Amino acid sequence: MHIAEGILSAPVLAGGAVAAGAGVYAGLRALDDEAIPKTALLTAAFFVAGLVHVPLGVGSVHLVLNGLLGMILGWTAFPAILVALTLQTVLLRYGGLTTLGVNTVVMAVPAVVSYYLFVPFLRRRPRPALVFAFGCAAGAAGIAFGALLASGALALSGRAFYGVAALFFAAHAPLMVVEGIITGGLLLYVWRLKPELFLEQERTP
Amino acid sequence: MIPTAIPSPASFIMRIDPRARLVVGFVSTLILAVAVQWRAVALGLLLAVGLCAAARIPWGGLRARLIGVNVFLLMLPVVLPWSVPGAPLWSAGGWVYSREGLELAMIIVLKGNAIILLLSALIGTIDAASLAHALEHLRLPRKLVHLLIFTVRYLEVLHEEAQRLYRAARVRGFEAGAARHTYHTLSRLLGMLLVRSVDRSERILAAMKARGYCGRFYLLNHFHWSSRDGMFCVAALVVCMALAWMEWQ
Repeated sequence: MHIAEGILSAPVLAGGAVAAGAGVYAGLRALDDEAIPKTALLTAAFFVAGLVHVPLGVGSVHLVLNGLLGMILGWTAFPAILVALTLQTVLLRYGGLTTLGVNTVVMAVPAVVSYYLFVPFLRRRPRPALVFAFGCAAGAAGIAFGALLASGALALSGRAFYGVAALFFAAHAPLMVVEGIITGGLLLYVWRLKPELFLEQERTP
Repeated sequence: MIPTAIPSPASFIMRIDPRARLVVGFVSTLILAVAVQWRAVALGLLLAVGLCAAARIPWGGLRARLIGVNVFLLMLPVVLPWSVPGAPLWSAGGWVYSREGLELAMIIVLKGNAIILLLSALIGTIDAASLAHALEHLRLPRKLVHLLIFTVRYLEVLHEEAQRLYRAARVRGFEAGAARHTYHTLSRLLGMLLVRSVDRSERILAAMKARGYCGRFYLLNHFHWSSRDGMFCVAALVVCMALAWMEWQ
């Protein structure tokens, strides 16, 4: 899901940075001082979840879980994802410094979309089977939409990148399936133990 | 263990103010990331290798990072030249592998490596706590810096918690494989991690409030700007201007 340094063209990088800046500004406005520890620990938890190797076929994938993150954090997913990506860049060397903006948009926009799509549905207290199904949808959509945005950023950088963009999108198909299944189970589990996590407060600016 | 900054021996880079390293690293990375001229990219790579050598960064830690990046970057010379029009090097079934495409791909590979080396030398040598403090000194939004400080503080704690949960599952006979049972177990394990992290954050907030937390931290590590830092910034400025001149002359 990460676009590495030095590939995207300057206008795309700048556009990503501006969009991410606006999103982070909105997210920080939605973030109460008192909610900072909770948001930070959830950020750390999602960071750690992303380190787990999930077996798939003969290889393994890393989870992104941006669909679920968005359902819990709403607009504050923007600063949370920026922080997580910054740490991944500094600590693990995924992504890059100049691509922070684009990568933040790629992961946070689907997160905020899944907040608006799925949380109103959770407020109606649905049956567990439906919660699982919507978790699957949120997880898979989070990856699909994110991969689409990333491929779009690659394609916008020039005609030369059309092939790479298509390959990038196709490479995310297996991750989409795994994310869907895991997010489904994860949502159901967290929903049963702590429904207030999704219902407590409006996370909008 | 989450790999934090590569532990590197004391060097002249380590003695330079983290704020200076952060700004210089960011600006030079920006210039390199948008560069498309051979000479600018080559100079950048040369400087990055020089800085890594000057910072005496252990090769072991650096190698792992370079391999990770190059797995993706080396896909480019294979794919990219087919979709860039230009003088054909060879062709297959109407598709042309162009010289211009290969050049573009190689420039991207070189500058990708240059940036990794540059950042490893300048910013990779700053520990996470100093990084957060440096950012607050550079006037980033307070809430964002607090978010960063808290995340950094509890990253290792939650990582250990996740490993504890994983060990507990293994003790009960769990073995990861590409099977439904694995996904079921992992989703519960991660769900437990999330729930526990929220519970922990509530205890943290209560403890902080009990100690009079009112929405701000008082930074204790104030950095001291010395003439050495100023000289480093001037030298970096000259180099960045040289890079920019090579790129846009």
